[in-house]
Amino acid sequence: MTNPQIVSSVIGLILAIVIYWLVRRDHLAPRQALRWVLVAAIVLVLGTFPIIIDWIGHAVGISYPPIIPVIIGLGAALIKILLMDIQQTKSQVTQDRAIQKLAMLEAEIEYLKNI
Amino acid sequence: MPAMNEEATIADVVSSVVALGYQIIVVDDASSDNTIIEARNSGAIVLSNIQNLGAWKATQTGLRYADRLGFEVIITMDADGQHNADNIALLVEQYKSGADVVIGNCTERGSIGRHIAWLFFKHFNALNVSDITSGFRLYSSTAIHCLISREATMLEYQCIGVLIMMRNLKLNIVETSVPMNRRGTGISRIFHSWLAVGYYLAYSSMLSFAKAFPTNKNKYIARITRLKKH
Repeated sequence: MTNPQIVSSVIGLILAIVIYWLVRRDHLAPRQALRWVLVAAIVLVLGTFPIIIDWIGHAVGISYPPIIPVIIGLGAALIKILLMDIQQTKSQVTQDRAIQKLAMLEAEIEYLKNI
Repeated sequence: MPAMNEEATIADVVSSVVALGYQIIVVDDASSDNTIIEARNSGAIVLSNIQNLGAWKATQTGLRYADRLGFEVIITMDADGQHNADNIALLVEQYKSGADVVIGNCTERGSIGRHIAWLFFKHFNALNVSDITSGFRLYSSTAIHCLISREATMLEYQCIGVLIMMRNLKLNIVETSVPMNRRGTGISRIFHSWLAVGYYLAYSSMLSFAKAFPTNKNKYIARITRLKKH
């Protein structure tokens, strides 16, 4: 094993441990943690065996294979951010409607009290 | 009627509406002054948002409540004394002659820049409305059912978004000319700075562009009213 290999597999391991700890301490829900476990696994595998990237690059005809994980990583991040914005819109609408509902219910209670 | 920090004018506006025999709902948008007390003492039903949601979403709080109380027709107006309660009759008149949405317009107000923006959005969206920013409007029950939807909560301003919604529902939008008073206190909340104006223009253009192509009316109604109870 070469030095860069050791470094990247250590990164993968640390990621896995951090995720484990976050779930254990209730900072991260298992649902989200599953995705991150997957990411950690990929980092660990590719970090330990970078030759896989070279195989893929050779197979699809990319002359500089190390760019593959960079592109895939950036693409995945972009999609994820977009999904987060959609989620954010939904939560914002729900929150605003909850505030409206609270005002409505409060007025209704006031009304019932005065009957 | 949405209101935020309008203690100076709210009592007069509410009293003038109450005097005409209408029921009035004031939505306090997290005011830090005596707006709530003033409005309540003048005879309004007051709803109070715990967080500032902006004029349109505050209006929507009122629309949702009025819908729950079973009102068939709702008129929205500003709390700053810009609109005169006596003119409500003008809007109702149009409603009686078959309009679904009536907009009280006053094209004498506003700067040249605002008029250009009005014209641009009017033609770009194929709207039949000259005064798109007017807050003095009448909505019929069909309009209300769509305006209380989640989709309408996504909007930030009542101008373009709401009008496009009404357009897509193929409602009969009618404009009627009403005199408006000059704002007694302060300036427009939406157009308080050039940055805000820029944001408003960008926002409205984006919305207009995204909604540019015709939609199937029935599908649209089905989509936006399916969750209306929540």
